[in-house]
Amino acid sequence: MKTKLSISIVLAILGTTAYTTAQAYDGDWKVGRIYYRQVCTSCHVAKTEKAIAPTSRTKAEWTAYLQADKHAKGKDSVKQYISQQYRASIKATNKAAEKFADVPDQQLMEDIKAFVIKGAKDGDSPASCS
Amino acid sequence: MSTENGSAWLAGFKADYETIFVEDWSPYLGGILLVLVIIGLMINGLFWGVFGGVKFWGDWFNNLIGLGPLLGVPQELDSFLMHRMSLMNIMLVLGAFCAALLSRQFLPRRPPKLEYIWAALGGCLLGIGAALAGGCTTGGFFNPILHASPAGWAMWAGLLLGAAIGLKLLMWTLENIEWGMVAPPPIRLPEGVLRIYPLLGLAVVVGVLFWATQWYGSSNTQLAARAVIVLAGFAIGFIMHRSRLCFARSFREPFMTAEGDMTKAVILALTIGMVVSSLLFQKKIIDPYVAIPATFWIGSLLGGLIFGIGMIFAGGCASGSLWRMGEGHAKLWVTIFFFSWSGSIASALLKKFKITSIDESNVESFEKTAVGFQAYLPDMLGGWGWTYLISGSILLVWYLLVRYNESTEKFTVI
Repeated sequence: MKTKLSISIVLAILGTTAYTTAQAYDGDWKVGRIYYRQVCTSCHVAKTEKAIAPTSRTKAEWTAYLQADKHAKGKDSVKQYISQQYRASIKATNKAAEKFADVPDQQLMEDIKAFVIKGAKDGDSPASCS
Repeated sequence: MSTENGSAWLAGFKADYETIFVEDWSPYLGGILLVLVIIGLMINGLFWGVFGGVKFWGDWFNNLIGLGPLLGVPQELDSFLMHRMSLMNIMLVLGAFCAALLSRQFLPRRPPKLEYIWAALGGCLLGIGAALAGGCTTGGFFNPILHASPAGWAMWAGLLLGAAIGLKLLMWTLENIEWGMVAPPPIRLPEGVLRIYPLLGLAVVVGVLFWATQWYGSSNTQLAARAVIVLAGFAIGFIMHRSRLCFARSFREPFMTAEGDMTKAVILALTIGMVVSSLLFQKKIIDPYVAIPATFWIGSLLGGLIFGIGMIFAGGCASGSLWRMGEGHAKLWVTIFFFSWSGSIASALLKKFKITSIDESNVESFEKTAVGFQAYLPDMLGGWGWTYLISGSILLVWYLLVRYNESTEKFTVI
């Protein structure tokens, strides 16, 4: 009885797994994390002495901010600081810019978006165990 | 005749009730059901964790007594029901409480005075160990193994060693300390109270289902997502209580009595969980790195050693203490208090002294700390073949040793 139940449960798990295999996710938050910390945050800290944590905005606010593409209250664009051109200009002094020098702009933007959405105030990424 | 028939069908339901809600489940069934819930969480982009929530309670306490700012604990904390792992822990206790009511096993239990000392000491060691290992037996051992990280195996080694040392130390105290060994008289509840336990348990089930349904249907996306945690945490507590599933016992018993059922149940759960979760990672349903602590291998091994000693004195690990809290054990309430308090202090201090703080200058895709890094076997070994082989081999060796010990008692230390 117990063996049959156990087998049924294992089959149910495998069935659920197979059912959900069609899903996929966009943007590599780990790449976004490195760029955000080492390029965005380090520059903010150097110029304003203040880091902007992903938790400072909600998912909707981050999405709207990145879509509006207005950096420093509209003085310039966010994309500018993600661009290959910008990365090339700082790669001599910035390890992250050097590492991701050849990543297409849009791909890197998706990675950064994935990171800030994951860590947003209302983000539903799992909390760290520690 | 009709009365006899009526009694017969009622007896049938009673028999099923006894089988499901009163008699203990096999730990093997418990292990498989637990993995099923964990996989359900992973499909929803979540994972099971305990220490994060326990530490969060300690953060609250430290802020309450004014220690938080000194330690660098964030001053603005979520509420107890909004913090994911705190909510999951609360639901785990509630699930176990409900199972204890349905089985009429709930009872406020007071241990001898000395046990409170061991609860405090053990709880403190649990907090320090978990802070070093990046998690308890759930987040530092079970989850990382499911997430194909050798950090789980490093903590496993530490836990084994810690359990053996802890047992030796506990035996020494039994031989040399006589104070506080007398148990207070047991609390006896009136028969009428025990009779309504199942109804109270049913009321808890209905209440939790109503709560989860309300949140799931909420326009607030955060609440809707928390509904999954409400149900999963409750199910985990229920399953752990019914099957008496206990990670501490799986490490302790082979050294103490040579009994290996709980260990074999954990091995079975890990085997099934590892294979199914590997499919989720390969199909990119969830990113494995979300549940891998940056502690391989020093933090995991050392943390496991300290945690292993602590869980022997405390009488349970994190999840085991929580479900026993739900069953009414006063000792485990003390354990969890000191676990959360010391966990918060140790985590804050270890970060303050740059021991477990993340290396911000690292440009690798995995996190690094002074006590290790986020190790993911498929990335380290270039694929899943070696990952399956190594993890499967360790599980097989563990099983063989436990089975051999059941027959020979070669590894018992008392």
